Amino acid sequence: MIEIKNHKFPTDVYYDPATHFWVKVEGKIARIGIDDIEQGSRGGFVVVQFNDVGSEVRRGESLGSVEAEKHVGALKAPVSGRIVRVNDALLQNPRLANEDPYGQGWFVEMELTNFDAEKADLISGEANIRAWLLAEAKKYEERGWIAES
Amino acid sequence: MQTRWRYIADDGVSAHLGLATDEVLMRPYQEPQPAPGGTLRLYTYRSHCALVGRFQHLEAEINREACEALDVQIGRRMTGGGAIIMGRDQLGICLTTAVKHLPPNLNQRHLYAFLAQPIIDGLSKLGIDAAFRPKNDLEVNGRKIAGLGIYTDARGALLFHTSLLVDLDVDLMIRVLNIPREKISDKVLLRSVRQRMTTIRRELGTAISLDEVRDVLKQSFARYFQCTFQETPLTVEEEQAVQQLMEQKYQTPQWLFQFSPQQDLYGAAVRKTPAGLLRVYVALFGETIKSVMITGDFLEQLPFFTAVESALKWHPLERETIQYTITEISRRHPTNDVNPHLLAATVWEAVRRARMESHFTYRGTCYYPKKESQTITRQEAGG
Repeated sequence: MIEIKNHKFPTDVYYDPATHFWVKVEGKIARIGIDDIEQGSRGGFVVVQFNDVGSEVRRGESLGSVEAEKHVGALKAPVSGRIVRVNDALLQNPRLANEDPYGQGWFVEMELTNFDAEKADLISGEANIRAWLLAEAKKYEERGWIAES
Repeated sequence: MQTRWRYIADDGVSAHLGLATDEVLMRPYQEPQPAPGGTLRLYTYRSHCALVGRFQHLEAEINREACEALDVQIGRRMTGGGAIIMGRDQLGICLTTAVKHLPPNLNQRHLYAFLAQPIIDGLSKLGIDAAFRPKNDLEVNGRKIAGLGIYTDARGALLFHTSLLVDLDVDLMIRVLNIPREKISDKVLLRSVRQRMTTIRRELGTAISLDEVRDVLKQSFARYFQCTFQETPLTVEEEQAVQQLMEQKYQTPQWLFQFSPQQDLYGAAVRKTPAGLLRVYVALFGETIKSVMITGDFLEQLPFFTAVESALKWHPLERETIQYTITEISRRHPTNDVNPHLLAATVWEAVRRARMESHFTYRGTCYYPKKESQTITRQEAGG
């Protein structure tokens, strides 16, 4: 686990630099969620909605929507695949994504369909993750994107 | 250098046509090759339409019987926020562009203030001193004059919505927005709503026309984005796309009556204080406070109350942080009449009562909860 500017980041996952979503791969299944710095930037999650289980999503397409402090936005899939499970607990309590982004606040699980090609666009490995996050944290701080406590 | 933006002005549109058109106007700004500039649409709905936010429970927010009786159309927006009434005296502002066209230092936290600025500038030209009130309102001296909403899609297009009150039929709003009838006669609560909202005509004291407001705002947006507007109606293809969206999305029961897994819950608490009665109404949405209204015999405390109400909107349901938030606001709005600890305790009691509801039963809007609790004592409130 890396800690940068009071935000925590596990190192056994992939990160999508475009969305700050994490991807934890086990076999052909990937669990997906949002990382700590991005959840803080978005503010409190109020409503989360996902595409139906069984639906196919390609990387960059919407796998659902979130309303956070009244900004409704699409959740862009960091990888391609078929949604096999959604986090019912998160649907009931979207703030889990803020309070426990790597644990109870995960979004969906997907059966991967193009991961070998797409993982090149993701960031993995402790050294790479640390270097990327240091630059990102600086950017978030300079631009005032980090949530006021 | 000035960019060229698209401009559309239309009036009297139906709920579904208005919303579907806004969504179609996002499409030119989607990846991979978003068009330059943006689109500004300044328009009105037919009198009247009731529009709920993206994830609201329509049945909870809208009195459908009243809508049928009054010929009010209903619709669901792509943007978030609460239910609104739209008609000939409420100017709809729709701005679409690509997220990548906006200044790079903006993210969700700053978008509202950035996009609201040309509206504030326009109101200033009219002689109204408006300000952005987080999280998504414009206010004039503590009274709401406009509500804002944003939606961004997966392909990088942005839709910014505003409902600007040129005028407002509060009585109609109260009937349509699911206000329990027995509370319409409650002058205290009616007055509370009127105290919290204002309109351009009320502020100016004149019957300024909607077209005049529209012209001023158009000029203000042009200055702000350093653009020139070219009036460009929908193409035939776009009109077809609007029709398709209406039929396949905005008119369908699946879209209109969709449910969130979360329940709306409502609670109220009343506290006797040496200075008079203090009433707090809360609406909860899952583990979040959806809205709060504070009323009572403290009219001079309205700025404090509205500041607390704004801060608690979408606030986590945590007793300590609610207490902290109210205490912090009380430092900016010192008051001898209302103890912030007592107010926090009353808010929490209203939350507790809301949570005791085990079934989804509508109890009114945040302005008019249907069921007023009994007066509680200081000990009961834990204060």
